Amino acid sequence: MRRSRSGVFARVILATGGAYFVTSSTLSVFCIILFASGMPRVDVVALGMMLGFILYLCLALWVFSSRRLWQVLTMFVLVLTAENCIFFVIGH
Amino acid sequence: MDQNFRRSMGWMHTWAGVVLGSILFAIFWMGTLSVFDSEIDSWMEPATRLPAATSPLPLETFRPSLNDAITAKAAFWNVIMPDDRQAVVHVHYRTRQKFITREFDPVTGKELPNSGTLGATGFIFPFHYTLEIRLMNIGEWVVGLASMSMLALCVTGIIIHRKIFSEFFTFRPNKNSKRLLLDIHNMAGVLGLPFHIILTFSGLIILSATFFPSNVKAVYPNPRDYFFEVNGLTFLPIKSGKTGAPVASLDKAALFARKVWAGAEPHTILVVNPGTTTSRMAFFRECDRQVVVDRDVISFEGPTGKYFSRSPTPHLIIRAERFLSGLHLIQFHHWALRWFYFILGLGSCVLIGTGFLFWLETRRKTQNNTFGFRIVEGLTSGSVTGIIIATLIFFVANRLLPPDAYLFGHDRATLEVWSFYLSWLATFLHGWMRPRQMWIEQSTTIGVLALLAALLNWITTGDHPLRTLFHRYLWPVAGMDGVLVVGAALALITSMRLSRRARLPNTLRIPSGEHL
Repeated sequence: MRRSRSGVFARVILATGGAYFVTSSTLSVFCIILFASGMPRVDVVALGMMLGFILYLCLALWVFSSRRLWQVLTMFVLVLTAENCIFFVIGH
Repeated sequence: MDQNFRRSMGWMHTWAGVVLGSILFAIFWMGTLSVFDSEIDSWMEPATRLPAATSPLPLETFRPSLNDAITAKAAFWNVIMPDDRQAVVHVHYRTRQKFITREFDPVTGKELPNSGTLGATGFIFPFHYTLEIRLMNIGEWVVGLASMSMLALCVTGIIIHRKIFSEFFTFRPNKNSKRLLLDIHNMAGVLGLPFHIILTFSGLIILSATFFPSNVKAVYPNPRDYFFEVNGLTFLPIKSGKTGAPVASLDKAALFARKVWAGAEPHTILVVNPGTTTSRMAFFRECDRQVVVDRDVISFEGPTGKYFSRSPTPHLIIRAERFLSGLHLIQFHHWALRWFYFILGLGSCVLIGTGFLFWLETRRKTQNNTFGFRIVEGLTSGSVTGIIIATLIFFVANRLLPPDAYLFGHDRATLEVWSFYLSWLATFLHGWMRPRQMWIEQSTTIGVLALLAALLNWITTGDHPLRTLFHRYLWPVAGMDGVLVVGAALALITSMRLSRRARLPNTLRIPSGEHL
């Protein structure tokens, strides 16, 4: 399969770094919402960790399988922004 | 399935495998050895090969070492009682400078001479999850990245594997070497798939707090609180007190703990900040009859010995998390399962190794002399056969170095570790300088070194196979010698077969066909 060098580089960065940050911020929001709805916080964090790796895996595979990289990138940026807004509003 | 999707997954499988395969092999190899870490310890420390005691020693026997810890202003001091896998009592404490381990005879309570080795629990097991790169936890992050890619490799491997069941029963040992490698790769992958996935996933979960700190920070003002709460260590966060306070009777506290647990024995006894007015004693119940690692902890105030707290029963999610980590840490007592873990772990190593070899074999005809090919070939030899050689050198050095070895300011334990790293480096260079021949030469080296290690164990300790087989307490040594001899035989057979094939004229080899 032929791919341009810069395309490969972008995919690797997006799959490792991008997917990581999206997972990480999704987990934070997940934790805050569940904690606010009354779940004990140890449980919230432990559950989030377990689901986090699966989410990360799916995102990374998506980066490599999608045909249009800019779609993935836009999606990641949107999700990150939205989640940081939620994080900012509900906050600590 | 969409052809393009499958091709992109195949591309990812190939390159993630080549780039991170070396690290994955190192992790799986060291993890496989860690299954028998206590047994390897007793092989590497002959002084600890002792029959098990019938009844536990009183804890006050270890009071002198506790006093040493107090004098050294240790942050903690602990005793790990003997169990089915190790007969001796281990005492650990951390002074300002270093981590100290002392071993005691389980019957007489006398201190055993310093073994001068890190052994499997001190080197092989930490290498498994930190790669011995402690700086800023880089090692753990690399292990995490490799583990995530292992999960991705498992998933993409299934996707690109079209006929999962028909190929599962296909094994073509007499076809060309490329087919054979792919068949072994598929078989090891499919047979061990649940093992690869569960072990990788649970390994990630064990280190999850390192990988997703923001998750913890979102609901915990102080991330340490999560660590204490999830591990049932809520008695730990204590303010530092004044020095000069005594530590109350350990046996009296142990008696109390035994009564609460209806007779169950403590496995670990911990004293935090010993010798200060705020010290705490904690007793961790043994839990080797279950997969879930939920050690009940009863803690006491150090200076007075008054009951302080007991860890609460964990919630369902925490139990699920501890079940997964229990599956990974194998602290339960079950010999058959332990061997099964070991064999499946070797299966994972075979999976990674054959993946590498298949990559090389498909490209040997077209890119034999390109720089990239040579790099991967050298990398493969160093990371597959090389780490095995380095481990064997580690064992051989352990038997050969005199007890008071000291060189260039390094003690015996450090010299052993250096012998590991230097020989590992040498195998990379060897693989890079002698392409093709290195497989034969390194397999032979593995065979010879494994036999040498088993032989050296006999010569230096007198525990020959007949003796070790007939004494129950020497079975760990017998098992290790057995694995060494079987491994040596396999390596020598492999090298013989390889060299026979290398001598065949080139025309007899079936030309390589399709390209992945």
